[in-house]
Amino acid sequence: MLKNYLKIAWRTLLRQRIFSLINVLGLAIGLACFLLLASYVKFEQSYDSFQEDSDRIFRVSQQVRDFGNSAWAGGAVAPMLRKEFGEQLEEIVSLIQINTYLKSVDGINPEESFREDYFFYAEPGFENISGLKVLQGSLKGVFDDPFTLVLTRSKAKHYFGDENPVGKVLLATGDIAFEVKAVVEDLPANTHMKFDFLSSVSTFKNLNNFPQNADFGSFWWPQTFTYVKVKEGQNAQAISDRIPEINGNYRDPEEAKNYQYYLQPIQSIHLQSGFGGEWTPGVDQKTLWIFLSIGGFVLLLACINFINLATARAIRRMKEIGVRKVNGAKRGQLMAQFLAEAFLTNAFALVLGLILVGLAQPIFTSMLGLSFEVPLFSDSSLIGIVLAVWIISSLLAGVFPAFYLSGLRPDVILKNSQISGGKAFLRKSLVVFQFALSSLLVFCAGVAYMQHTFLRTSDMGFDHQGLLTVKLGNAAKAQIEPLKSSLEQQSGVISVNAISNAPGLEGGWNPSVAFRGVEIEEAFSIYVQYVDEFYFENLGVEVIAGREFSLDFQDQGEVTEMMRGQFPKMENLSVVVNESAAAIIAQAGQETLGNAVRVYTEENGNLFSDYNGNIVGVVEDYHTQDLKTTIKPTVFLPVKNAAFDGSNILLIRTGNGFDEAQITHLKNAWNQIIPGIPFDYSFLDERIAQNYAQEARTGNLLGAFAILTLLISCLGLLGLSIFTAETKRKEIGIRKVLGASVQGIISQLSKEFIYPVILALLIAFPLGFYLMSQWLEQFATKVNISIGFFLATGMTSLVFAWLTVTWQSWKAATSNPVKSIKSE
Amino acid sequence: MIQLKEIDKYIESRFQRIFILKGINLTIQQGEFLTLMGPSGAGKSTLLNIIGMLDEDYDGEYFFGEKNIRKMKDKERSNLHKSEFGYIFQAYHLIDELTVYENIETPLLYRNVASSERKSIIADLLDRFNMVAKKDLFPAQLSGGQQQLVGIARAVAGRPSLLLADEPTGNLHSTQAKEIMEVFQELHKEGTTIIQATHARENADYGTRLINLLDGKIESDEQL
Repeated sequence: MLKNYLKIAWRTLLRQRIFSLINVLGLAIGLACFLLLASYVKFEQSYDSFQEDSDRIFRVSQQVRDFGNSAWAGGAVAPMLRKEFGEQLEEIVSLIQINTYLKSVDGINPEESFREDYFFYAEPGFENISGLKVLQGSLKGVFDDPFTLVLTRSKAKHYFGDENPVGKVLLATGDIAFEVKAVVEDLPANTHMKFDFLSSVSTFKNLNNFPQNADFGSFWWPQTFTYVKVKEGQNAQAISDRIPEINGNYRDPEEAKNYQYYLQPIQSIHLQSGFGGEWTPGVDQKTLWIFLSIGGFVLLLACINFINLATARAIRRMKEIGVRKVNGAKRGQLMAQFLAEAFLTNAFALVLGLILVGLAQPIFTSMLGLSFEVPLFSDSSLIGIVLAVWIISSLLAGVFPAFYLSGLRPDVILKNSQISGGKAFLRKSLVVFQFALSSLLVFCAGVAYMQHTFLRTSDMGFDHQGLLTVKLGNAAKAQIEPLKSSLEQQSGVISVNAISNAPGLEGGWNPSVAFRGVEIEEAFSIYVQYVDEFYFENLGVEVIAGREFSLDFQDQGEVTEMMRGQFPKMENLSVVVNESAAAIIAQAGQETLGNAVRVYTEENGNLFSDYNGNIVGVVEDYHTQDLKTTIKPTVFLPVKNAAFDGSNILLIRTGNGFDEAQITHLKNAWNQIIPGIPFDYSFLDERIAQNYAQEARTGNLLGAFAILTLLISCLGLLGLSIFTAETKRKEIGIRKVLGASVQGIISQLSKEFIYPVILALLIAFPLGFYLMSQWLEQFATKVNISIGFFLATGMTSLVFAWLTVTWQSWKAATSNPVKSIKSE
Repeated sequence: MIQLKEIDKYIESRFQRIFILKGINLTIQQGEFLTLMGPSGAGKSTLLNIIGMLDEDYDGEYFFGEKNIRKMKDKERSNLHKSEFGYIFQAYHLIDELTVYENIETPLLYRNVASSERKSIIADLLDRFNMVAKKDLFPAQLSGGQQQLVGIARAVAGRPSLLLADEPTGNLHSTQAKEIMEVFQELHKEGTTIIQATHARENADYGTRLINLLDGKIESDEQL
């Protein structure tokens, strides 16, 4: 019996090839989309769950008043926790991140330096919280002894090729030699603890002349990532809750209130974005939800199609049902037949869907800029979902014919050669639902795309094209003047500035800032940067009052005192502020130009720096950070002042048509003055565009899935219009014989489906407007959702729908009426 | 074998009942070959459907043998339907997706006939109707007469005692029609009770009894 069912199911599939293809393909695409998105979301959610006992591992993060969360903690936090919670905690480990240039002495690229950003000094016990797998050498003593080095397999290959690197030496900036003690397996992609090199904190103490056996005592220096592993059976939340009150015993209690430390489960780190100083960028939960719901919706649409088409097709088979009933089929047997058919068809869709996943996965992961496998056959929940989809959609697709059609009276079915459309309302509301959803996605994708374009192209308040940034190390800073004048003379170079922060990327840092006579509400809301003379002129930022820094004035101030023998106190600095900062001063009723400014850092009532000066100029606001953030009130200090040199980068403005050859000239000029130091450059506009990579990815993905949902919706519409055209064949034939025109018939048939699409648009527009307005909230600079978006979305959906329907209507309208009328 | 008492069949319209059958009293004996004739709309097919238990929406009493059909349980009725009735249609109503062989097999499947027995029954039927060579063809590949032969083979495959044929030759030309009627005659000789509805007087000549219907009533009833 089952064989008979499957046989007829297979023949029906073949007989109605287009129908079957639409049906199977639609569901396969939907399933593939869902599986890809779901496995992406699962991947993001799987971060840091592979470590042993990962549910007992926490990071010590801090919540800073008026600032939000920070991923780092000061060096004093780990010793404090050791003292207070030593009994409850199994491990307490701090890491200090540095960046450096490394070169191998006897490796495969001797003498060539490479910049390494993921170099950490770690405390003993790191191996117990990170799941390190040693491949060569041993970890014994590596986190205790100075100048040890552990490197990952890929870095070992990079520096030493296939040779065993254990015992070999890598030289860091300043010719500091690190001896390789061990090679560890690269960590999996789903951890926030990305590192390439590990050395010991004792190395750090050694290099900074810090006593080896002393604990760090500052909550500011050094900045560390601190992790703890809670002993089994201990309540982490209770420990976390007690930290703030204990903290008050270790630093000024008032100050302690501003910096609340707490234990953050490592598995949640990747899913919380917006932490200051985060190790690796996290992902926004909201984005994950959006992706997951898109996946769910695409699958839902495909299932609806499947059900809709299967039902429509079943109506065509009423005759068969009648014949079978007359021949003695029981209702249960017919139900079994239709369900068997639905399960079979669906099985094809599943297999095809899995094949599609395999094909689309590389494209999908490259769109996301990630590399992960879709764990199709190993993940039980994904397998569960696939099976659930199979069972549920098969049941739903089989249920209508199984229950409704099998209950009809055979004489009625056999008598009526004209098939009634049946359930038109239900089917049309499904069309409305599908198109509302796909139009919504098209709309959202459009807005996201335009927002990204807008961010990339909109005016940042300064001319960010043709700018080159070069990293400055200590060697370069020592030769800054000769470097600047030499580079300035190279062809194509317009100007060179030494500054602390790249414009359009980094806002600066946030010490305490005070203006005379001004009450500042938010403690660390004012940013500080260090710039040199003619910086604003070269940047293309206008000075609206006073002047910018100039060699003609004594801007550098003077050191009047060394506090506690090592921390400078400065007076008479010149200060430039931006409009936003000037507005704060003006609001308090103070004169901006000439107003006294104090920039200082303080811990436990002790001052660590104290710079005093007067405002000499105001510059117009420009975007010091990306366009997602509002322009912050910013104070600019001279880069080279009486106490120190604050420069980190050289900003080189070049003329048009700057090319590789000219970069080589710059490199040569650079190396003539400081040989052996890499010329580490990048183009500012590219780095700024990088800022919006996330938006670009989101936009691209949304776009891709919008097109797919539209496609699936159209497949559904196509199926239904084929069906309608079929059931109305006789009617169309009669109308034609009676003199109806092809045009008239097309418009009659098309209208039936165009109205639901228009209704769908009316539902999608307000929803899309609301959703995207919410989404745009996160950007300081945002596009207007203009009428154009609505028009474009409407046109897209209508054109797709119209083409789909008209194709079928045209076929129906131009067919020979004699045939359709004659056939019984 | 079959006894109908005061069968009424009507459509309830807004102002009045429109009777399709009214006051039909009819007794059919085992082994009869009965022909229902009458103009379009006289109620031939309706009566046939009622006798064949395809239509259960009527007033009156219907006895099959000793049993009152209307008082039977669903299951009983469905078993009776399966074991005693075979149907033949004007439009053949073969399943397009099944081959000749499989079409004939369908009623046997629903009767849970064992596979080896099915094979022998179908082989016999194919042999008898000279269709052995065509057993793997699909209905669309056959002529109308051949399709109707398959229809008959399918109807008799379950060895019913009563064969119901609604305009079995309506779509066929005269030579084909003659062939079909000869098959009926043969089946009748073997003991099958046959009831056919037809427009063609010459078809009635193959039967033993002729009933004329007009406007839902029996107009005449004669033995041939």
